[in-house]
Amino acid sequence: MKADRNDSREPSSDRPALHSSLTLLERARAGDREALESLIARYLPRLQRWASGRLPPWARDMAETQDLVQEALFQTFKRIERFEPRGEGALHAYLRQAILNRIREELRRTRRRPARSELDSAAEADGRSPLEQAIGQEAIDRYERALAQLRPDDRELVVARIELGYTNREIAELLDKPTPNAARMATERAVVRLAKEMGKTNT
Amino acid sequence: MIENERVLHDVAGALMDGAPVDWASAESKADDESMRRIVRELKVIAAIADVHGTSAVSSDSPSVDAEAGNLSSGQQPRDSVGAESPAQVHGTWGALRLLEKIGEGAFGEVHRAWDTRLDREVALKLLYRQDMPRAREASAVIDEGRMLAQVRHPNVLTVHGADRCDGRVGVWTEFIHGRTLEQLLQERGAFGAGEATLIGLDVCRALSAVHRAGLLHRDIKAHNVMREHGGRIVLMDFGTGIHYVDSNDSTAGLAGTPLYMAPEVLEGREATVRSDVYSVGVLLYHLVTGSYPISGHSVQEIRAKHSQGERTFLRDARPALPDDFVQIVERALSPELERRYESAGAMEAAVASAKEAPRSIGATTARGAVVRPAVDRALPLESAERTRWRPRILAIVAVLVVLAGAGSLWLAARKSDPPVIAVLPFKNLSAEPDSDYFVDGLTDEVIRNLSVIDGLFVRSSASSFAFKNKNPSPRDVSAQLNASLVLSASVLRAGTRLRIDAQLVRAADDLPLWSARYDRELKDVFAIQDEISRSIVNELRLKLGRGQRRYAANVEAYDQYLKARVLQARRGPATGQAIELFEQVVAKDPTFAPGYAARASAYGYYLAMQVPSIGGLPVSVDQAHGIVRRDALEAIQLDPLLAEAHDAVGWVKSLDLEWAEAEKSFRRAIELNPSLTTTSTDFVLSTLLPEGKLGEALRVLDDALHADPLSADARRTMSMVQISARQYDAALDNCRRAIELDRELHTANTRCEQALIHKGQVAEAIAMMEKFIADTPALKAGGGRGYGYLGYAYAISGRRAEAEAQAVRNEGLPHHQAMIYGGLGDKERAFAAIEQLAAVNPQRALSFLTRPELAVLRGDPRVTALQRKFGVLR
Repeated sequence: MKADRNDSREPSSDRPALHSSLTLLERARAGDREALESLIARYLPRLQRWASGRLPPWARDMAETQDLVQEALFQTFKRIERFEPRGEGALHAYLRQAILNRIREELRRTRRRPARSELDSAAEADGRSPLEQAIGQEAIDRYERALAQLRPDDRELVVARIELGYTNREIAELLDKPTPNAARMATERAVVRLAKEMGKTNT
Repeated sequence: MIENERVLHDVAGALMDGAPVDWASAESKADDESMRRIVRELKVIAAIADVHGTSAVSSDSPSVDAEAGNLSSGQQPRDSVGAESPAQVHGTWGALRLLEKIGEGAFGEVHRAWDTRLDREVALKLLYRQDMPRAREASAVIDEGRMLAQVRHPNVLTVHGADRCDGRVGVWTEFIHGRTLEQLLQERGAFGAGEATLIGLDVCRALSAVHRAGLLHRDIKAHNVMREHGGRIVLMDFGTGIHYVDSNDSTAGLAGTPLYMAPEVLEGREATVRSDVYSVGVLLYHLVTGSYPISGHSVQEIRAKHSQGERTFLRDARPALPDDFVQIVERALSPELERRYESAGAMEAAVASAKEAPRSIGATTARGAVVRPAVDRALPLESAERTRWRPRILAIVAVLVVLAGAGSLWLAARKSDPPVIAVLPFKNLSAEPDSDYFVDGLTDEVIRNLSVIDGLFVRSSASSFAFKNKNPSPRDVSAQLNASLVLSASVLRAGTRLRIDAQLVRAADDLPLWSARYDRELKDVFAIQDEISRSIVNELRLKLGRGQRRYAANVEAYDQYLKARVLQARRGPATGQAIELFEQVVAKDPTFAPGYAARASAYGYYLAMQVPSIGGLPVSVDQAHGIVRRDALEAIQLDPLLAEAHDAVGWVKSLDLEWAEAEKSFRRAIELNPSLTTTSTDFVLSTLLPEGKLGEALRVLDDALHADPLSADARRTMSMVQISARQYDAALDNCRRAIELDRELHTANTRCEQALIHKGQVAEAIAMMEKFIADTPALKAGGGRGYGYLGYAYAISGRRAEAEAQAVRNEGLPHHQAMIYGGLGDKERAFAAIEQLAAVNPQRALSFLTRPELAVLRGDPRVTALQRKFGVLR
């Protein structure tokens, strides 16, 4: 089958193996430090890449991204007893939300810090994350609101594909889709639903 | 709408593949502002993917995903079009590129063409410019094309469109790769009876579809039936009587071919369904003999032979044919109209039983359950269960005989364990490898849809896909997945068509329980996936007779739905609030069938019980009628086992004054979910009360109260019926209990006052009503307008002037006036008011006639006539 041929070319090194994350999570909850660290190591690179699109340049330049994401992951995994993941995909969406919350919190805190008088319009633009610069805060809000309205499985598909850049094969594994093709199709549907939901909040 | 969806999915698909998107063009294809907005939101999502650097994820590996996307993105399919580079295009007509001229006649030519808008191959019949001198004829051709485009059947050529362009009129249709039956006959000689039977079956089905659309074919002949490569039989070219008739020919004015023409048509009479049936008879005769029952060199000759009864009987033309085949053909060819089959469907049934007869019973088992969705869909408000079985009664009997032993085991098993279904990965029989994408997605959708049904267990898709490409036996699957039932299917894609065969097998003994075939035009893969997975799941539920659908609905939507249901049961003005919430529910979750059903029922109640009334709803009465119909249909299609959907259909039928049908729907709803008391009250209010079936109404409500003693709605309705049945003590008791249950319940207090009046405590009732009116600002302002009982009470206690004054206040509210005039003993004005009410709301008028306030009209011949007119008296 063509699909297999294609997807076998995908790098598999950073693809978390099915179920093992959940096993690690179990152990981390039970206080296994090693399990916690390997979980963080597993998710950090991808979530860091993701966070770089969400942080203003000064935050990225200050190498805070790594710390911030790492810290958020650490905190999240430690407090994760409140979360019963249905699967890997759900875990991803959960972590992504946790980090997003952490970033917002951080931005609220730091935005109060810079001296207002020195801000000109360029600096203002500088203070905006790449995502904000690309589509504007209003569209981000619309997107986030719509994302929250989606059914969990759709939300997880969107996050995995659009934000975290998983391949169809990886999504199939993460979200228990029978084949990469089915994963692609399900994601496509989810994206259309998301756009419709965004269109609704727009009115 | 489907086109819009396609645009959205094309764009989303490109996004998935990291392929470039032409946003301007995508936006321009969307046909309204809300669609354009969604396209723009997709652009936002694309930008988000860009920022996160994920849009490039698969753009470096485009081979599969991009190719798979072809199925929905409108690139030209390589396999069929590779050869037609633009260099070979020999002209254009509108949006069609003419690729090859494949036929030519006196009036026009036929081309193989490419539709550049929808990227598909089509056949184009283009009339010559000079042959269309009169605009009237040109528009007739276009109109005809438009009508034909409405006939949707796998065995009928799909007409895509008709238009006039560059001064030329053209009709374009799907392009069939295959040969006509005439060609096959010439090449291979006469067909066998078996093969002709199968062809006859498909032609009859096609013809049924044509007739159902209100059209006649008029030109059935072997030249006009094609067999596509792969075996599909397609009925083509309609004799329109306009563009294929040569005026120099002696057949002037006749559409069709004289050899196939029924004698009455040759005599110049109107073509009918039965003349089309006659032509099918000639077709079958011709297929097995190569000749015609009556042949001749001119119309005159053929006409003469008909009148002299000079025809060659099939038995004489070819003696060794099965009896039943010969009988069917001869009956279709009968010179007297009345002796022919009355419809193509009747002929089909005969052909089908002829086909089944020689087979072993074993072979009919699986076939007995074959579903023909095209037929089902054409009769949307009929219960799917019923229509499905219609044509094959004999086959069903055979199935029952075979299942008699095993069937009881099946039923026994049903009671204890819920069935566990394993869905095997659907087999892809198509040549195009990228169809895998579609087939896997379809399997996944079916599993997903099955897994939200309560009372069925479905093995997860991961375990099912372990069997992919392995061809396991149902028994192996059952053993390994511990499943009692195995669903398998195969998918064949040929060009733009899609054929799916599905079957459900009981694993223990390989016994086929159900099978179905779906033939579809592959336009929008998502719509097809939705539709087919929904059909499979729903038909399985019907087959298994179980499976309450669970809705993993949007939590907020579900919450609103529950809230709205409470308001709906309160009745009266709360219905408006309920409707408002139902609107939001279906907007939030368009797949939530109970939302549509409830909105239909709420509007149904409004139409039957509130019109004419003060404080209406945001839509007109006509619009409300449309909504009830649309929503009921939507709900029943989404979920044919949903009690609320049958309730909604019940409202449609009762609004249509089809009482028997309405009763059937409500009874089905109660059967499906006996604990739903609103169904019982809907049944009583919409149907039983207008029908005057008070005893039945009391029984239905008694059962409802037994199932749910705390239903205020049922108690209130009970007291209403009891008043009509003159059981005033019981009525008073029930309305008091209803008020205790829900203080905001609509008109419960009115029922109590009404009961008091009829018990003789008129003064007490008047005091209560006067106080109520004084305490209710809206009523106080109108001086009691909208409160006819007060006027009635005045009237019967001798305060006639006050009663008359109340009648004046209730101008425009004939139901209130009717009661007041009833109290005054004024038959004339009471009837006039009822008549006025009946003109806008017959249901309500009929209900009012059961009331004691209108006892004065009892036995009045005008009332009887009215009841007869509306079908409640025969």
